[in-house]
Amino acid sequence: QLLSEPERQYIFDSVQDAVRIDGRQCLAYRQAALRLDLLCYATASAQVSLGETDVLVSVREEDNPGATAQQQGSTGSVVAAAQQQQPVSHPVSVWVDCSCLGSGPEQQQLADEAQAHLSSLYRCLRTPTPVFVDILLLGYDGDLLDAASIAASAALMRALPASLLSAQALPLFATVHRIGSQQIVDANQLEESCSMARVTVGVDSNGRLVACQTCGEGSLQFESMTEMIETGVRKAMMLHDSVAKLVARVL
Amino acid sequence: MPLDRYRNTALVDGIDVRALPLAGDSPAPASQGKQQQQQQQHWFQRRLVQDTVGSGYVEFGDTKVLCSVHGPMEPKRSVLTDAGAEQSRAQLQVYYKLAPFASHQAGRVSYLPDETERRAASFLQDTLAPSLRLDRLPKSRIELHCLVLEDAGCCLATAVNCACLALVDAGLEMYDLVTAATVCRPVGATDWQLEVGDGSNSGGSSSVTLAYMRSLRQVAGMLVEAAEPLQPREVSAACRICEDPCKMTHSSLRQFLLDCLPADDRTAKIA
Repeated sequence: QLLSEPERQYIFDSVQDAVRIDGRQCLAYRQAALRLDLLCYATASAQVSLGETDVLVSVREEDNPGATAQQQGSTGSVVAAAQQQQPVSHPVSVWVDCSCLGSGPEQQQLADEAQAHLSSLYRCLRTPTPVFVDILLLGYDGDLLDAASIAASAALMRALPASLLSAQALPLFATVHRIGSQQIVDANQLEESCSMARVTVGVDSNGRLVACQTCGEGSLQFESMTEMIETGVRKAMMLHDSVAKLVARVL
Repeated sequence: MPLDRYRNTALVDGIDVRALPLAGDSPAPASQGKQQQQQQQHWFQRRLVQDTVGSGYVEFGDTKVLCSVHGPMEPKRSVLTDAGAEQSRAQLQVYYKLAPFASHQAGRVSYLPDETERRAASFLQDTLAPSLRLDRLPKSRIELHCLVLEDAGCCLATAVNCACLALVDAGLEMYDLVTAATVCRPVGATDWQLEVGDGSNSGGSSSVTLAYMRSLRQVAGMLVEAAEPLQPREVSAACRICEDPCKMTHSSLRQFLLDCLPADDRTAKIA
């Protein structure tokens, strides 16, 4: 996004006064929509739109090559057959595609970073059959990681059997940016280009961290970094509540 | 382990590291009740690669990392970015690669950078950019190539230290030296231990890597790789534990760089 210096200064100064350019509170998320089960050839799918950021996720379980023909009727029985025969565990494989935005190096870097973050989010998850999570970015206006993690976790919760998930929701990302002395969440693209440093935390439904990283070309004080982690955990718990209610309404 | 007499060990106070417990060892009786101070010496060298602007080589235990700096050179132009705004600062591009023979556990590593290496490269870029004065070199690009010759643990933190050494050797202005350390904790354990380059961390443990700028007292980068869910206060405590090894590495690196100067240039030392 191209921003002139006065525009950058305007966004910076207004965030210091706790006013964002679209009128939100500093720690408020944009209007979000979650749709499930859109794709017929995927085991599960989800689409999340967070403002203009639009992410479509498809989860596919590979059929167990050792399963017999009659057991390949539905995915649920294939997974059960796999669990009986070979308790091999596979990590979740994540792929992020930003080709809808263009094919330049910035888009490729966005896709690479998102793929690295999301792979680390599902690092502790092991499945008996290989599971492929394909994330397609249809529109981008900031906050890709939060939106992609909501969609991917919702789709994985639909795809995987309940015994594997052990009655827990899958982790979600919350990204906290620091602009001057204020923290903001769910930054749009203009605010992201003004922020110097951000902390991305992956939080499970019990409030524990499964991933945490600082990014951006700025440095942080220890106290600021700790505050941003705490804010991220709080917002992620709020996201967990909202997603749980939405998914329960659909089921 | 006999000390190599031909190496500049770069520690000012001669502490015999053989007497100190390392990660993975059972604690010695003398250290019970005291805070465990685990350290291992870094070995620094500069000007190892001839045809570069600057280069650095760091050994930390068995982990060996080599960095070289190229530039300032012509910037990469992109059709989408505004020419005026983007070229007021130098572009820093970091390439990170494990040598095919580098990894103890993973066997032979492929020639193409995989996801872990791309992630490490972007971590290095985000960590070094705050301390570099990129605004002093407009309309240019600086390339940093980081090659891990042997990965025996604490690889990313050693790469940060090596990259900082290479950038200083290249003569690029920096606000402060960036030094990093990693602490790790096996699944189910309660204490964080400093990760050292002795191959004792064979996966299956959570690690926290912190990159710190001592003089500015700011965190340049932090990366958590969790093997189990962690409480936020545990992560904060791990970051605090990383602070002391980062400060010690900062002193060692600074002393090494001062010792590299000719004798008559050393008069302006700041205590």
